[in-house]
Amino acid sequence: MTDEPDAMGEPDGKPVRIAGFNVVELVGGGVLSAVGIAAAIASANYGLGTLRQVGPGMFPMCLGIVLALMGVAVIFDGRRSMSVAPRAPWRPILAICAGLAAFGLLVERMGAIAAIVGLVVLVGFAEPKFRPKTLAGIALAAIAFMSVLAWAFYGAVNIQLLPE
Amino acid sequence: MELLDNMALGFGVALSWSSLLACLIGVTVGTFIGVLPGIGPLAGISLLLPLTFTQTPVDAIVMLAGIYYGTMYGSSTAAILLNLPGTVTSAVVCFDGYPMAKQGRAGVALAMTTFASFIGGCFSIVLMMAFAPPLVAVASSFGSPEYFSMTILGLLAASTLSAGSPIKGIAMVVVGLLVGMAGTDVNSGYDRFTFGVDEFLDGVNIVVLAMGMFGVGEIFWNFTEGQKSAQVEKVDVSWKALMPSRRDWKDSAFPIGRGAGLGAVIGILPGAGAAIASFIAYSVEKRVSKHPEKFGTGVIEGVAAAESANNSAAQAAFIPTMALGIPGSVTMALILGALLIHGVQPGPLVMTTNPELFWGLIASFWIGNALLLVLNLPLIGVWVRMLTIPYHVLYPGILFFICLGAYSSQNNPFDVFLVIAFGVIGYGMRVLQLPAAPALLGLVLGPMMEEHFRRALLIARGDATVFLTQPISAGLLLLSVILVVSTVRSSWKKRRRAAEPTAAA
Repeated sequence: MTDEPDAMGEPDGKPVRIAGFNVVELVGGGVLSAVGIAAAIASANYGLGTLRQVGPGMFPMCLGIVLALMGVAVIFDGRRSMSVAPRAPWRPILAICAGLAAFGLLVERMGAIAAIVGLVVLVGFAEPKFRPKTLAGIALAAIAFMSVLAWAFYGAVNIQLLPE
Repeated sequence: MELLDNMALGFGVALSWSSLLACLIGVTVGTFIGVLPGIGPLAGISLLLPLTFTQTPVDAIVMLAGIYYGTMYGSSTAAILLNLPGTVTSAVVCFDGYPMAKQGRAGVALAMTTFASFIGGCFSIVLMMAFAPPLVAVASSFGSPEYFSMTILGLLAASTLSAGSPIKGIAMVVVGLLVGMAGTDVNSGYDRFTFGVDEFLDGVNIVVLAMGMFGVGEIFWNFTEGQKSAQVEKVDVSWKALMPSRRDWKDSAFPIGRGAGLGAVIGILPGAGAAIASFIAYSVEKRVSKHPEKFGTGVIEGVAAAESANNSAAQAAFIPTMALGIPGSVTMALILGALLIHGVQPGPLVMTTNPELFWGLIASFWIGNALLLVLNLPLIGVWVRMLTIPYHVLYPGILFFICLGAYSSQNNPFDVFLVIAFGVIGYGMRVLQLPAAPALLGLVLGPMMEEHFRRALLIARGDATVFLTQPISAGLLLLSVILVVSTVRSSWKKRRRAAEPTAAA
């Protein structure tokens, strides 16, 4: 099997290397190792117990050590890797995060309708071109759906449509 | 006969109005999600999971399972018409399906994939009815050491056999296991990895994690890659154009059969999911074919075998999940997580404690596959039109469902913010080429694995060699070692071969 499904998708461009290590793999492995070491240190405080009466810290401690080693393995395994980090689309990422945050902030204070409007308007900025008509349509459809849901599953879905 | 009694029980459950409705919604939504490129079964199931909280466990699992195999039916549509797989499982269908569409035979290809999917699915349901009871009989003699070792084997198989680097796969499983540790330790009452946040005391909510990493993260990724403009081939959806000719049937019969068999075997194995099954089925067809050079130019055998194999594998994946409580794939892990939320502990006991759930699910597979066959052919025209929805309409809608799902799962706005965090983390992992899927598998299985680890040691009076002195457990661990060593070696070999031509050029 030469052509396996490659979920990652290799972006084009030249890989960046530091001392022969591919930067993508270096950062990836480094993050994994750091998480592993942090987990192992935290677990040490939870109490390891004995082999007979295993404490809350023993299993996570083992996992943390394994992860720290795997991180190093990733770095060395990736020496020949041709991976390139893609350019992050900052505008869409910020717009979408802001939209989701608006929903989270508004849904209990101002009700679901305001939250949906906030969400849809803000995520609309992810596109290079802001499309007020399309977004208004989406927001109306979402509000209609939410209203039907709150009405049909009254009691099961406890979402306030309007502020109290 | 016992099997007949069981099936009668199952159909009694699955033919109730609520279950039928759940099945219908599941397979329809599943097909819809499968058709749309960019959202797969994982995102689909995590979006609809909160809606199942009001249902009975049977209806919930029937609906979620329907979404899963419904996506298998739907995902070939985009592959054939756009040369863009709806989900990774139908990537192979592009090879011959798209050329068929260019020759004006899209209708035949779409109809044949539906038939092939149906036959592949049915094959594995029969297999599940036959093999699940004996498998359960074996599994119920397992103790904690065996379960611990079996979980290790399952996790390693799932993370190393999938695409990408096996080492990263294993590392991400460990990350998932660690995330699974978060919350109050059931044995000691000690709070672990909660960072002082009350919401983490019950552990990390799997719905929120899946929606963040696979829903929001995926949208970020789509913006990174730039959206491909969809050029849908014109499709004649009249019955005459859809119906395969006698020759098409003759060409497809054996490939469908072989695909179903291969898919079932591969689906039962932990880890090797539907995507791999369709790839293997395709390459087998190419090898046994009298005209292998024609593959890739629009031969129906390639489409039929791949589709039959991925549906067969998808259905067979339920066998280990339901019989052993060990999910073979990430989607299965999510369904297993859903069962846990509904208070059902999947495993060998399900068949005796919840027979109506087990057999009801199997009966719903029959109903669901029949529904898909009946619904899909007349609806092909609708699905084709779905493909013309532009992404700028789609993504705000998906984000709305993500918000709704995250908030309504516990009525806590905190979960919406957690989705943002997991979305950013998921995107970062994707940039670093660390696969998120194995982490989800680890998250679901982590608590169970630790529990068996502790219990095994307690029963063995602190003798850590218990995992190696029990024969079944030792065998499973030996298999795990062989598996890891061989996959890592073959991935090194493959890479060296891939690196040579680049070095020469």
